[in-house]
Amino acid sequence: MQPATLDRTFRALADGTRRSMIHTLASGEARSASDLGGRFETAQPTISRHLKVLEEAGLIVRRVEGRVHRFRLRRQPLKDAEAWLSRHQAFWTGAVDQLERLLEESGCDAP
Amino acid sequence: MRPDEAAATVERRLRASPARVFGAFADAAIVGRWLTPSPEVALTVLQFEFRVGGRYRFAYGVPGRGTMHVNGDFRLIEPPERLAFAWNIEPPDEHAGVRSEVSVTLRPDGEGTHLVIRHEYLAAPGASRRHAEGWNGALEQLASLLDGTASAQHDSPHQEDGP
Repeated sequence: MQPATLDRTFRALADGTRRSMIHTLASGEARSASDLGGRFETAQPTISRHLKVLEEAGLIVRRVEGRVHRFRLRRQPLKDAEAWLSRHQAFWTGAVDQLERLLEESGCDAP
Repeated sequence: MRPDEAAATVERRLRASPARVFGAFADAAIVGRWLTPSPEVALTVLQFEFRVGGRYRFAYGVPGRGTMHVNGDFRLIEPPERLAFAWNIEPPDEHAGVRSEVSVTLRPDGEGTHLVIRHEYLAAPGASRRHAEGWNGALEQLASLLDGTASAQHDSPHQEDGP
């Protein structure tokens, strides 16, 4: 996985409307743009722009059926972003455990 | 804490003064004894210039997986309250090239210290951080996106009373 890919994923997820679209798609079903935009009081061009960002980040794939565009979730970029976060979460949790132990051990001889 | 980027965060109350906790970040010999994800992973401190702009380099011996190197520079040193440093994992690690920064905050809490470590993902140079409008850097949120368990209200626009 390339850092640029992670960048696109995190940037795509930095917006509440787009996260909400991802939530809607998380069931696994393909949805149309109007399904995805229906929950927001947002103009269609705005919805299209959000969908484009998600698409360019590889988080969704588009399938055109006649005049209807359907979108489906791709989980791999989410998994990559989560792998980065959980790795660092685990690292620092473990490190702070050890820091805590060290401070307790050396408790009496310190300022 | 401004929720604007993806970050891993660890908070802990420690039974030691902020000055002592800060000291554990400031001294290479002490850092070498704890700044690893588990006791099985040995840290060798290769470089440690504890001043703003100074550099550090760590070698982690991971059993069965060889050595992983991390380097960076100290961005902020304000004893005994705040510390920040860059965190760059070196190749061939899968996360090499990802820019990230660690911020440490220490607040007195009774006779102890409330410690917050926030490891923040930084977008590549050129990415506009101002346009990121509030990714609440929580791992749980991402996990719930992945397994589809997130409730709809999680992200719906919801106004609290107040300013």
